[in-house]
Amino acid sequence: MKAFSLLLDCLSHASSDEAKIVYLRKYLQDVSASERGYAVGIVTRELNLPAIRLPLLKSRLLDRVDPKLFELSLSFVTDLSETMALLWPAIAEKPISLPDVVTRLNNAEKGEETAVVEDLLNHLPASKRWVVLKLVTARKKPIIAPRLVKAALARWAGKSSQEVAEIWPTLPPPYTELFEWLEGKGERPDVKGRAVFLPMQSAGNFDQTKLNQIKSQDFAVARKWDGLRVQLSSFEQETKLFTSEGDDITALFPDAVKLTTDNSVFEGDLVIVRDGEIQPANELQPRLNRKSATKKLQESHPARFIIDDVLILKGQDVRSRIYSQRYEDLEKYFGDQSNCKVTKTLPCLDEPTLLDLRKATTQERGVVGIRLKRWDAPYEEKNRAGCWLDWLNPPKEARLVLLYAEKGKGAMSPLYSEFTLGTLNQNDAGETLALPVGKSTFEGDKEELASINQWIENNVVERFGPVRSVNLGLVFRVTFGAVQPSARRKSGLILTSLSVEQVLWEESWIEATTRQELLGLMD
Amino acid sequence: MQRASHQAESWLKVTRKGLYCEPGDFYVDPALAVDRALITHAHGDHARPGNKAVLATKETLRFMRLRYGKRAGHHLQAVTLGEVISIGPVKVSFYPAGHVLGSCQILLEYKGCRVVVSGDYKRRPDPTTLDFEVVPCHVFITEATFGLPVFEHPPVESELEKLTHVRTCFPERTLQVSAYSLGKCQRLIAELRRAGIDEPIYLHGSQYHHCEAYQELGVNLGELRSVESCLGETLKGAIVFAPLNVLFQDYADRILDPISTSASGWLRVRSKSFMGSCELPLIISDHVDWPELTQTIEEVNPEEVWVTHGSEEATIHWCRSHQRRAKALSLVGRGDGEE
Repeated sequence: MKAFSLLLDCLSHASSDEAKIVYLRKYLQDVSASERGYAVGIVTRELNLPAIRLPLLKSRLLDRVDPKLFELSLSFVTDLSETMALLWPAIAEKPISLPDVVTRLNNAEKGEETAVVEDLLNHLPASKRWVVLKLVTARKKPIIAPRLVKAALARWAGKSSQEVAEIWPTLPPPYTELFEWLEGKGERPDVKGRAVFLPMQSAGNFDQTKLNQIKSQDFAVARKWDGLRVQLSSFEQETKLFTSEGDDITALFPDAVKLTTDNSVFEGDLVIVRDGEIQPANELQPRLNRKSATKKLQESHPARFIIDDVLILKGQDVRSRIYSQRYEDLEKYFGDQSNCKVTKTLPCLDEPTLLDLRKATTQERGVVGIRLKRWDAPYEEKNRAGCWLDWLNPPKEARLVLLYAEKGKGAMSPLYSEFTLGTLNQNDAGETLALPVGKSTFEGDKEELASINQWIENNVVERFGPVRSVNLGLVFRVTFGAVQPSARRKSGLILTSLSVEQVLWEESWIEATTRQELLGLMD
Repeated sequence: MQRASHQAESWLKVTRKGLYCEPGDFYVDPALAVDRALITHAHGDHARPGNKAVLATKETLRFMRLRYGKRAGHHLQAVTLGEVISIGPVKVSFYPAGHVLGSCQILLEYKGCRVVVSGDYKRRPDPTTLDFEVVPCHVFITEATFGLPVFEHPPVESELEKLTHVRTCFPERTLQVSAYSLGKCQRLIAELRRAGIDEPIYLHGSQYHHCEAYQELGVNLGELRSVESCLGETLKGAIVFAPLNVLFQDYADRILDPISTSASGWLRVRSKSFMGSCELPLIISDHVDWPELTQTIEEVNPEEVWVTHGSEEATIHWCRSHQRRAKALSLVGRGDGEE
């Protein structure tokens, strides 16, 4: 367990994706075969482990430590599971291996999980106690991105990461066959009839200054939907839906995978459609945040798959065919399937039209811009020389005030980085209130995030599970795609594609953008 | 009959300038310049410049001269460990505190009452300084920098294993260590040497001078090089130290893709370890952790504990729940409502 706890420690402080790959590769090299599969299953979150209730465990801890010292510690550390890991009084340390931990957790009888965790904690030092608590409490976000795991596996075994990525989804943890193949002890796992994931092509950003160098007739122009880029892989034995990172989200969107396809891989955007209109991408969140899709959720947030490309069609790899051919394939293949449609390309003759098209889409709901794909380009993982370009509607700006903060950004992160932001509004009594208009994950500078966290810790008003409400005070400069009505929010508004650009430390919250001003930015 | 510790409050006072001993007319670690100062150790928050007469160990005086030059004090008097010096009716003597080279606890004796001012201290063995000595007393004035039970420093060896692991993963990257120039820097170097790392270590100017002083005072730190004096040398895979307040910009062009490293007891708590965005946080401290703090209080076994520097609340709570009298040093002389 020592090597694994060291790995998590290194991963959480790693300065780059490359560093993460190096750490993971070194780990794979150092540990025994029995440990590797579990470790990979844990960092990708594919391994199922029982979840325990922290409050129950906390009450067990409070039988053994002074409650006042516990409170003082928690208010300093701020994270409950970390406080518990640090304060848990170990009885006697025993060497416990990672496979031991996993087996004991998974073999626990129903209702006995907490007792098993307790026993583990009793015999481990603090750093490993933290790992155990994270295993049984953390959310489903991977500890490191699956693509990095695949890269590390490939590098460790001297295979191509494309090959690893393809086989990956077909095997469950602890991936015994995969590792046997990687170590040269077994055959390449047979993926016939299984849903594979193929590396996806990404689009570059359209450079507007080069508008006049572009021959628009060379490109298929289509709406860029405000959704999630996905790959649908459908074979004899199974159909799966993957994110562009290769995460398997099949269980979350059964309504989008009900396709009668055979031995094909399609690509497109997953969107929520309500009353015939495509909703902003953050309407996908309620579905992405669950472990499965309830019937109710499928009704309130119906998902649709808008297809714009095909990689494998009826068992034939068509990636080398150019887009005009692939698009024709698509149109031919899909007549009128009920729960998916092929994106329509837009007529486009010359440059001004391209600009007009982009402008016209700003008026449409659920559209964030246009996507250009070269008609004569094959499908390639690397976006060579701008074959695919996204021209997004220019973002709008506002100053919003921080209302709620939540820890996030990688399941192990101890920092608050998911922020609910608000606009100002006067109520009937003439008081100024702040009302939420959207949520955004902070993706800026690490040190800036540390300062924000310091501020949040000093300004917590209330705790709601992992969420903290804070004093009004911190103002962010944000950009967003559009202002849209939202019946579910008190403000009645939602900002799409909301992104935090800057913290305005000097700005008073009373200077934040008002609801009236936002209404003025509505299309 | 009054407790001896209760009587201490009548002659030892917390003033704006610092802890003042009235019958001896001197201060211990004054925050502002005074006529007569007793200094526990040379860190800036304990040893200030500009005092007239200074009493401290020869090591502490050496570092004060290095840092403040002529402003170290008009009259510097070196004390030997255990030697009893009378200042008026007060007897003072110095005992090792184990914090940094030359650091001491100061025992004050007056009218049968013994007060130990611990200054900063630690209990872990440190190759660069003498071990802390338990001095029986009526009042023990303790620091509580890590006065919360979440602070339990892991063994130095396991932290160095982490360092070795990271260096093995990235043999080409420079290990860029931020550390205080006095104490932390030398302790880390000595621990690296103990772990068998005998390559030259590169230092920023002020650290280099402090290390020179350590070597002159008999602490062997192996081969050290000043970064400034080896311009043009490649620092690929090397270990480079710089003080916390010095950015590595000075030689940023020579260090590509460094592994930023820092060492502190605070790094025990993960949310704090992310604050400085460092890639290799080492939990190594020059202060006692919680188990050592409470153990020290039990070993010293004073009538009363006065707590300063840090998490006073938890430490005082612990003392009281273990039937020990305790108060925050800042409240000394203001009554505690207990009597």
